[in-house]
Amino acid sequence: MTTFVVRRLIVTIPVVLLVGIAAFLLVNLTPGDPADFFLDPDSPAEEVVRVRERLGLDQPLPVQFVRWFGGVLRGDLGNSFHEKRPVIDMFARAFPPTIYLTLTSLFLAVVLAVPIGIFSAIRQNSVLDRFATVFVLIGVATPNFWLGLLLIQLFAVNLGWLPAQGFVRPEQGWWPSLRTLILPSIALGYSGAALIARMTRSGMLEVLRQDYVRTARAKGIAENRVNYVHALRNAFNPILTVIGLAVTSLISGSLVVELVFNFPGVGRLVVDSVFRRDYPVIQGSLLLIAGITIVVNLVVDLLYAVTDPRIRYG
Amino acid sequence: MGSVRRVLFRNQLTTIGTFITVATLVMAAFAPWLATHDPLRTNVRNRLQPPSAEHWMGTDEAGRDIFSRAIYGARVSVRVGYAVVALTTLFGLAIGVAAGYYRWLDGLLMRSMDALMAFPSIFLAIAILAALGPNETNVIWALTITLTPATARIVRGVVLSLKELDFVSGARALGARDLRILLRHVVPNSLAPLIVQSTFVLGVAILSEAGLSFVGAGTAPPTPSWGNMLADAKRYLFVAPWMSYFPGLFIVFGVLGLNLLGDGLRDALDPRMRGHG
Repeated sequence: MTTFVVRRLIVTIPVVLLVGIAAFLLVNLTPGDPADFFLDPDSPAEEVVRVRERLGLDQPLPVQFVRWFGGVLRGDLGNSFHEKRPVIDMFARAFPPTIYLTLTSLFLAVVLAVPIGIFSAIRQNSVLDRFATVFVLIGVATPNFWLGLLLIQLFAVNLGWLPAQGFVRPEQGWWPSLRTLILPSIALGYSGAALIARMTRSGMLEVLRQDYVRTARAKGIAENRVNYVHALRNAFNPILTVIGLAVTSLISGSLVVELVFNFPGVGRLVVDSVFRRDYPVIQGSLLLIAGITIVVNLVVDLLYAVTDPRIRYG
Repeated sequence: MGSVRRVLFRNQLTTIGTFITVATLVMAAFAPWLATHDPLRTNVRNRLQPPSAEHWMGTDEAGRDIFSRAIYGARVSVRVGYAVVALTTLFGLAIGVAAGYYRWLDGLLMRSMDALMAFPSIFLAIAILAALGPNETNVIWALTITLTPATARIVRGVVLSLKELDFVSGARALGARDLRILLRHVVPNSLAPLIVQSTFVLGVAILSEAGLSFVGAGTAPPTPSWGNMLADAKRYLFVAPWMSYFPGLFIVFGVLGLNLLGDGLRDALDPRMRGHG
């Protein structure tokens, strides 16, 4: 197990480095000089040189990269051009709402989708399976922000049950907080649920066709035991994989959903920064989000090893 | 009996998917003939009108005809979607073949693809657009960069499995050069999964373009796109709900059609998938 974990961690290092290079180049290859943000258009040439020196822009790109990435590894993501405060502080403020939103969406998606996927595989071609197919097809094709708009119309405007906008932090009471999370989580979670249901179904179908399942049936083991003990246990890995994928797609989707619901999370922060051309914030958010994705993938891979011993020793 | 019904259900769905996909293309190609009004002509006296015989899907905040704008909106989706498919296929094929065929390139190329895949797609796309500037061409490039890794991975997988097969080693034994083996054997055998992948890339590209235009990083107004129409609709949610219904339905049907077509193609092109649904 230790060898597996170590090997898996080593593979992650070049990816982290490449992610850093990508985020660095994205901003540094952008037309225009970052020093312009700190200067009046008619600043004298000495002033320009001074600011460029202060920002380290006079150094060659590789040197700039090493300095910047060194800072990143120590948790220093630089300062926002716009708000003149550390990016990490802005992120610390915007991150919790996005985490709550992503986790509630993931929870909704898993709780709904895994049973749907399992039942529709066991009762393949039944009416329930047909409904599940339609649920999946529509879920995959529906833009989360459009679903958000429809939900606001129905539950906030027409019925007046739930707030249409904003986020109440849990410190101010968990129920008001949860109320602000319900609609965005449904909007965000549906496509994830569709994805998970589809993969669970096909993963389960794959397993149900295996020889050992047939053997178990032939031995006269009760159908439920075959399905839920013999088959489901082996369908865990594909389900895990897709849940891992779903996390990434939920984080991605949160960007747009947050805008629909005026949600003060990372997505909003990034979109606002894009319009202000606040590159350190964009860069920092990209890196942190990529970091989270890498960690999620790592955790999923390690969980494989837990649920499937073949991987540990393979 | 159940499986027969399943196949029929699948075939029906594939037919529907093909029909919707062709209809979207026709809509984009013949937009000027299909639209009932000029999609850009404003008429303030006629603003925020609900659907009527004159304006089938109502009018927006500037009195523009939503039906005509939605028809023209298909042009943006089709242009972006098909351009992204063409480019991701080209780059995905090149990178996937290179990584699968040449061991020494594999590590570098695939780790780079992994790095790109570590960024959630919309975040990466929006950061690229922040750097390049928001317009349709840059949306195409941003989505190409975010979607190429998946295609490259699929191609690499096909190449790796083909490389060991007898007909490829046979060709090599006969003295065929790498390029010939690639073009005559590897590329044709990658086509089936690539065609299937294309339909999904198309769907994702259309959804992403709509999302990017919705947040204001994609197609700029007044050019109608399904995404920026929904951005307008968001501001009039309380007074003109119809503004949000129709552009959204166009997106759902467009993407649904592509996914149905893709599922059908996968079943048809890959015999192992038959009956898997």
